[in-house]
Amino acid sequence: MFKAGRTPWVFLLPALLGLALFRLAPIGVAAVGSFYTEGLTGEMHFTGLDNLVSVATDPDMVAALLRTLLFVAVVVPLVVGMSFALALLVQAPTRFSIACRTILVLPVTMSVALTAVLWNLLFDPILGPVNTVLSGMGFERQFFFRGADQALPTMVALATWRASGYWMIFMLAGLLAIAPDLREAARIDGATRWQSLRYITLPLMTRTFAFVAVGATAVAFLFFAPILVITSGGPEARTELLMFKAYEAGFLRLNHGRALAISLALLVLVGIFAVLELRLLRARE
Amino acid sequence: MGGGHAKAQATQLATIWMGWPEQHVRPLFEMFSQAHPEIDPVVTPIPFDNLLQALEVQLGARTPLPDIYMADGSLTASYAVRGHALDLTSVFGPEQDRFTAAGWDQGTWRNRLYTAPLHTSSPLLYINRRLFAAAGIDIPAADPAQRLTWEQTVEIGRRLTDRSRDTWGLVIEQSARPYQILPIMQSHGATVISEDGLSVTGHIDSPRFVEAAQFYADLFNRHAISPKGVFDLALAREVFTSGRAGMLIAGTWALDLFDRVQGLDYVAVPHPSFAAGRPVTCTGSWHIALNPRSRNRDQQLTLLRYFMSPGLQQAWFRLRTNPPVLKATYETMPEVFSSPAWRIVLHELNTTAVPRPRTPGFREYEDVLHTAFRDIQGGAEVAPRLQRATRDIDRELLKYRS
Repeated sequence: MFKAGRTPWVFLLPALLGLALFRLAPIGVAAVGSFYTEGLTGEMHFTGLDNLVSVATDPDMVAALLRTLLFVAVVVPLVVGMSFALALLVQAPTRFSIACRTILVLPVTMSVALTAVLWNLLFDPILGPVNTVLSGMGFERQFFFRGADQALPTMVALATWRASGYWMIFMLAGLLAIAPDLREAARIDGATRWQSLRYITLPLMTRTFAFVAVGATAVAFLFFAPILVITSGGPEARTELLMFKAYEAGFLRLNHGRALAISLALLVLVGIFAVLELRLLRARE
Repeated sequence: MGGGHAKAQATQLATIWMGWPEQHVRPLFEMFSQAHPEIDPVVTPIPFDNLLQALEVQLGARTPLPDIYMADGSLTASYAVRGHALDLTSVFGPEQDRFTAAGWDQGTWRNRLYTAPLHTSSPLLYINRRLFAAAGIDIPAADPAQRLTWEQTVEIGRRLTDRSRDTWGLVIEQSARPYQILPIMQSHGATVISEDGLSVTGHIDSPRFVEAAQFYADLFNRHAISPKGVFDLALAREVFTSGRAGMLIAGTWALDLFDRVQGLDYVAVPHPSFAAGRPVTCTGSWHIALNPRSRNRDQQLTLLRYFMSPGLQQAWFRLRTNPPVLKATYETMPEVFSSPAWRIVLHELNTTAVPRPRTPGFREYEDVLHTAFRDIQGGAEVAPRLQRATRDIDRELLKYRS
């Protein structure tokens, strides 16, 4: 029915169309839209680089960028480390391994908004059960999301908790793909567990680490819903990350050109970090 | 009802509504459907926290949908200048006298009516009698002329606060929203925006405003009579109804809610004001707006007229106890409005109520100030935080200057 050379493309077409429509087209819209400013009654004015320049020279945006980089720099290693550790823990087939794996994956099955609402209630300074337990144990009540010094670390905890179980699945797949013979041979040769992990498992997991690191980086850069639901960027702007600033510009300040400029900057940042991470891990491979 | 066939032939009206409980909203639309089976309002209720953003997305697309939407009265100017609300002056202009002045006023921009008021609002100071009795404090007077001063409120709050038992003196239901916070500044004599509604420099960074904002900050920090970080409205009311707060500032909607809480012994008294200032209370209304791009103009107007009718407004009041905007509603229900709490409300609406600032940039104004109040409540330095808010608001208001 089809010539051999075209057949794969026919099967790929639906996926490629979806990719173009739902991934590439919005990027194009963001890129073009960032050069325009919308008038009050919807008319578009070409304003060149004005939006990008305004974003780049705004001290609040620079602070949000630095905060986002800090957030990503803390969350990504935590997620990669935690997901790998969890995968190692549940790797061995025991009576409880399926139950353990299921429990660890559960956080990702909850909607982000619901997760945010639950964490907000759990860590509420007045009515939250975490504070009730703390004060019952004789500790001072903590402000968590409401404290200027605690809000971002608490967000890091939420992001890590939610992501680790999800990325654990990929780590587990990577671990299970390592031929058992290799570890068995090492054990017969007298290698300790640590040596087996250091010289066999870790080198063979490089590709998986690269995949998880790139994915977790993108997710961390786009971290948004809990900030909107719980802190709205506060207190004192301590949880204002770039994605929230894009939302704020578009939907709260009604400045779509600026919102698209921030989104474009985010896209470029994610791209740069993805390339850097892949190169770094490929060099080790 | 017209039955399935009639419903199938009816013109559908996409209607975005506030996410009030279904048992409050459904009866209104059932009344309308009985009177007008040829129109089928397809109602999408959206919770308050998401309503304004959802509307921005839908209206920003500049399509004929939604046909009808619920508008916060303070956003009337914003919707008007951006072409999102139909000019209703010719529809209701001749009937202006039917509406209360405050309700009508919130729906206008440059003397044209763009949104029709559904109901308005007014705050009360709710008192937990049991906690007052336990602390040996007299219940404040219901007479607005003898209302508590803010200074007295702090003093009483101190006596009621017991951190070891997690009991607080005062909770403000909307503790960081300009709606319930600006009256503190206005009672102290501060102005909150320029007359043309396009600048806040010299207003929210003025000495008067900063002093009052410092007082607000002290409630949560120095005096520590109010719990920090209770931003959720339901949570704030819960602190009061569970007996962990002696006083609560909240709207009239709480009257109905609190009446249904078993064991809650409360009374409502007038909102406080500064001893050396003037009494100011917040007010604001929910309105109905028509999308000017709708293809169902006649049906839009039919629904709107019906919702402005005395019958529906009375039914609405019985479902949710918000101050009505039709004068006739007050006249036809004297037994309700002669209660002590409603006498206070009527006094406030007629003498002390100040609506939120009229500006086409209210959405941006409110958002920036809301964040600033959250920070100040959390302990941020007042003057620099307000200077930052001033800079941010003025930058956002620039686009409306053309």
